Amino acid sequence: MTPIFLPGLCDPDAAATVRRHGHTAAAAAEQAEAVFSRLHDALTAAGGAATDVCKITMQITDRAYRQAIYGVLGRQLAGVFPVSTGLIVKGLPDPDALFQLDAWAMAGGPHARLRRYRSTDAPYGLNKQEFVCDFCMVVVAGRRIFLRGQTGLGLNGVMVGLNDAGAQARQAVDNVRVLLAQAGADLSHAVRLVTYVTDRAYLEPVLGVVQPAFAGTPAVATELVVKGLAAPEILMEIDVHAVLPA
Amino acid sequence: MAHQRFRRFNTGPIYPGQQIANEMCMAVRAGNLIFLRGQTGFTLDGDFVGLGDAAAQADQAMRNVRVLLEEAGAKMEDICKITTYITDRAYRTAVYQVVGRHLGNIAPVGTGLIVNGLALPEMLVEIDIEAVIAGA
Repeated sequence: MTPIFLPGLCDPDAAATVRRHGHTAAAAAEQAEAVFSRLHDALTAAGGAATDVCKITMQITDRAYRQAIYGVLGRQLAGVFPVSTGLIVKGLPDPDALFQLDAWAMAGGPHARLRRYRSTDAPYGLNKQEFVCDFCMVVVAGRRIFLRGQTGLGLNGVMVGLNDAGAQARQAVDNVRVLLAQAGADLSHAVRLVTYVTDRAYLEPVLGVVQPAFAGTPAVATELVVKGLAAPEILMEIDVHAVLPA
Repeated sequence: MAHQRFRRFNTGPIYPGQQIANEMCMAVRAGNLIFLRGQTGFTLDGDFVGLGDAAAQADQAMRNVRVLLEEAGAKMEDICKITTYITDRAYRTAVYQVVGRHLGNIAPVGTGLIVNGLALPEMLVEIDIEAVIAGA
């Protein structure tokens, strides 16, 4: 099964939306429409389709734009059920860009999508959010396993570890174990780990929990301090990618 | 076949004084897929170069990328995606010039992000690489 690599996608005319609307949710929504249009074009050009999309990472420069951008996402990828990681970032390469989409796709979709959910039915941190998106927790595409970014939000929808990044990390790792098992894998199949924290002070408690879980079969790792995650009470998130052996 | 994991190391020396000491690795090969640890101004021998100099850190990171890819049986031409994290927009031009020099005409897809921080305050740039070995 062939991967389709996509660049980080921004609105090529982000400056125009900012001229019209300033740095506002309205500008962000316009940019999101352009971004998803580019996504569809890029997939088509590569011989693929939206149903090939496995994982998306939403990179937004201000939490105030999240609702508007996810509303566009929900319409543009209706019925696809990708796994998702949502970041609030300090900046994007184009100073006028308010939103960037990183997407990973595998040709030959729609792929197996486990634990599907609709965003309005599921809490993000302590609360539900208003936008309507179809997501799932695990995508299995050939040998590759893509997981939703995992946090202190249990698979039962209960957020644990308020103000305790280490406790959130324990829950996130527990979730990863359960989700990999559902895909017929375990942590020994993990290849890559990205750890996001919202404050450098959380790196020590979080890495102290997360990294030992990979003992024996270490993965490659990247650590990032970001401006925010899906909700303010979410202090850490881990992205785990796994590959089943041939 | 189990995945091949290259250059296992302990993270302890990276975080002096902190309770983080675990075994990670620099590269994983799963079939024809290659994943590299995010590369920074740290050499593969563990020395940090380019203090306060994002371009020098990017240059070291890309030198590491070449070595790690070759050790895993790949080459620079197999790079499919590069993600460049910087901690300040001001580093962008210098870092991208260095990265571009290393990539030559390989033309991978790229993502750029400006983040609040990386694993250590002195890290100003980090580079993530995804590669697929052609024809394997």
